[in-house]
Amino acid sequence: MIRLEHVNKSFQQGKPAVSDISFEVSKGETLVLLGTSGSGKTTTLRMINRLVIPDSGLIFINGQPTDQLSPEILRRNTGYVLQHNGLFPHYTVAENIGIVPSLLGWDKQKILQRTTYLMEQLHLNPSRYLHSYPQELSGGQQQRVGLARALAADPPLLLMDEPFGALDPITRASVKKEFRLLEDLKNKAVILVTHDVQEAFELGTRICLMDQGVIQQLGTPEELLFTPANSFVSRFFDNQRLLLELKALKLEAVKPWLEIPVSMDGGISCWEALEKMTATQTDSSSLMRAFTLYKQTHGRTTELS
Amino acid sequence: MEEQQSFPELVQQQAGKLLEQTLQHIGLTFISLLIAVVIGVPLGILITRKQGLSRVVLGIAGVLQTIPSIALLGFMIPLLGIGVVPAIAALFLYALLPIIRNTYTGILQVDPAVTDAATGMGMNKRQLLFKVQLPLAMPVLLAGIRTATVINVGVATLAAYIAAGGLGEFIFGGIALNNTNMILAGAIPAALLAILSDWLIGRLQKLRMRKTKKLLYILPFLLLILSSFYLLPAAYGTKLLAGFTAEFMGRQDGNLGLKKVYGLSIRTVVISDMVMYKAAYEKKVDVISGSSTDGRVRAFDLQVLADDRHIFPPYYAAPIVRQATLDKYPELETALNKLSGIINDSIMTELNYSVDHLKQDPAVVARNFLEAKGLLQQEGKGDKGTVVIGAKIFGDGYILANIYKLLVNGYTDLKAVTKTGLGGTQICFEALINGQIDLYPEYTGTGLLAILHAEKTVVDSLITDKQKVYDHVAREFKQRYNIKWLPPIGFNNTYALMMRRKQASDLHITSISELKEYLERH
Repeated sequence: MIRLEHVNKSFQQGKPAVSDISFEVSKGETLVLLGTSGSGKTTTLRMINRLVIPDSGLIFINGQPTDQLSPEILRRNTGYVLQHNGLFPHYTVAENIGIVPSLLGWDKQKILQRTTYLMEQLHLNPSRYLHSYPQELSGGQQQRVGLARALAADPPLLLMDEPFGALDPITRASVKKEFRLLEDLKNKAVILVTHDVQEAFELGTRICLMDQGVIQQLGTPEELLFTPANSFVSRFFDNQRLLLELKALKLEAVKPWLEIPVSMDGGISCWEALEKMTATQTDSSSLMRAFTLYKQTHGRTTELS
Repeated sequence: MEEQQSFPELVQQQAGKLLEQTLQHIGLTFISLLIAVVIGVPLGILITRKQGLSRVVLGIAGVLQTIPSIALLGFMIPLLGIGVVPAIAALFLYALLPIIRNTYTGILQVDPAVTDAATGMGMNKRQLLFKVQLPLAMPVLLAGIRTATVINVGVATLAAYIAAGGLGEFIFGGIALNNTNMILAGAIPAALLAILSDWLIGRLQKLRMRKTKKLLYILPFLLLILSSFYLLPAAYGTKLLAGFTAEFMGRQDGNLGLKKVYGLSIRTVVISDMVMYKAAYEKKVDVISGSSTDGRVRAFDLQVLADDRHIFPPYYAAPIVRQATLDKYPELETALNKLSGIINDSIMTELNYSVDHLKQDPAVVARNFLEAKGLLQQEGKGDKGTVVIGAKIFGDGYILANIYKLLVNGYTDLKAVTKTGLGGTQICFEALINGQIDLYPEYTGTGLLAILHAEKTVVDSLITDKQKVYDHVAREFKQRYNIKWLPPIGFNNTYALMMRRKQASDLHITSISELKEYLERH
């Protein structure tokens, strides 16, 4: 769906902001660009919709190089969610959501239909908020509108720049949950920038960990945790490692080491299984033992840490 | 002297004029504002994109703003002449800075996240500007227009100085006539206009976002409509345009008399007497209220229209002398009377022309004149005593004082000294009474109105007859101040309507009555 090939960018002279980035994201997949500030993750994202023009390298969407498209056409076909939502204060919620469709020349009826559909999906009551202004909404609601706006024209690619960064933890959890359950995302390629490790593990199909403009490791959450490519990667997750590992590991994966079988769906993570056990006051020591045994047989993380 | 009208009376009587001037004022303000918006807003947008230019553009507009408004209007005269065009140009320059600056800051203060989002959604530069930047900059932009409007309403009062009309006509007239009510009649509507437009634009600023989007389109139309107000008075105006001084507009022996006695109704603009003659010459106006012996009548080849119904009081010049001095030196009277009846209007105009326009020395002009008339005599011994000859600061005074000096020195053994530049009538007359000067040339009309302050009934009974006026002032001055009026010199320096000679002869107009008939026919 989208492919980056050896993309480079440096601002001013000297220090490159992004060096030699290559990756590919396919339909239905969410790639998280993870890193601290200055790691080049946002620059990478903005090069995809050409808000930043790469110095070298190529970016393809559906096999077509993006530098051969007009930037307006490219952007209208790419959803974009910003950290501080960037909603237009002089537009109503409906008008905000309808921006890209109207730029694409959809007829009004169709825009309204799509707008109300998305609002319902994101738990925004259309009859109540359709004609409100962004300032009249809460932060969480504003971010939902921002999400709806990005999805309005049903673009095949969705770029998200720290979309939940400005929200308080409770609101963030609920918006994130809605986001994960969105039917509309199933057939899209999503690239999401965050510095929040837990968020990366929750939302990412794969994670691209970046530092100083260079990709340190790109892989599934499990791969990053249990087979880190270098010491930077392993150190990066150290202070929340246990939690992340429990979250990353599916119950299924530790089943061979379980002494007492657990009657739970194998698709859930070990963390979720532990939470359920705690809630029902079941003894969880057997699960923890199985988890430790799994780690001993897989990878070299334990030795390293 | 007449009593001043009360304010309501004045407003009632001048209602038509007041309305016309208010409309003109609105027109002047908003035409210039419209041009400033049309040029200033795009310029403001341009400098947000080319930051390097912003300092230069804002700098130039800032400098223009610091030029005192009356000076800016003054600069316009050599460039664009007088009338509406230079007035609008000056007002436009004033309005420019707040509009450019507020467009610039208005656009720059738009949240970068919003413009980033707009670009990210796929808006091109035009869409970004019209859908996002301008609507969001609108409150700040409107604040700039608001400032510019209030400035323009104020500065537009000065437009009357260069014959562009507006409420300044009343204000200048009031100042010239020392008539407070007249000043108020101009100042109050101007202030109300400023407050009203400030309030209205303030309201527009507070309108909901949705409506400001539409405002973007409504505003230019509104400005156009208001601008067109300037044209209304011209549409029902007469064929000829008169340029009168502010003082003349408000005087009974001025425009008011023209209306009352002649029934003359002509479209007027107020104009400063500094530029009036030139304006007539340059065909900016057709009829002016000049001074009949002014040198510029000759310089610009103007024709004085006969005052066939005698509304302008006779202003015959004659030397007035302290009786005490005459008693002491009886030969003085004979010497002074050498000039009696010698200088008529056209000779005085010619003399003024030599001094004012050809910049010759008044002393030389006086000597040449006497020589030509065969009146120049070798100077006497000058040992019998001293006579001080005074003169007012303006016009004929300098030349006459110099002529009298030569006559006294030539025909007597007295020594004459001139003391010119004594300011206006009051100062000159005080100096005469107190014996600081012995004589000065005065006008009969001035004596009657400005010194004797004659009752209205007395004035009405005398004014049409120059001899009666002379007799009256001679008698009263003798009685009250022991000052003697010698026989008149001959010319009558009064108000006069004048036109370009060519136009007057083409239209067969030689008198004010004929002017009136012409205007009625056309």
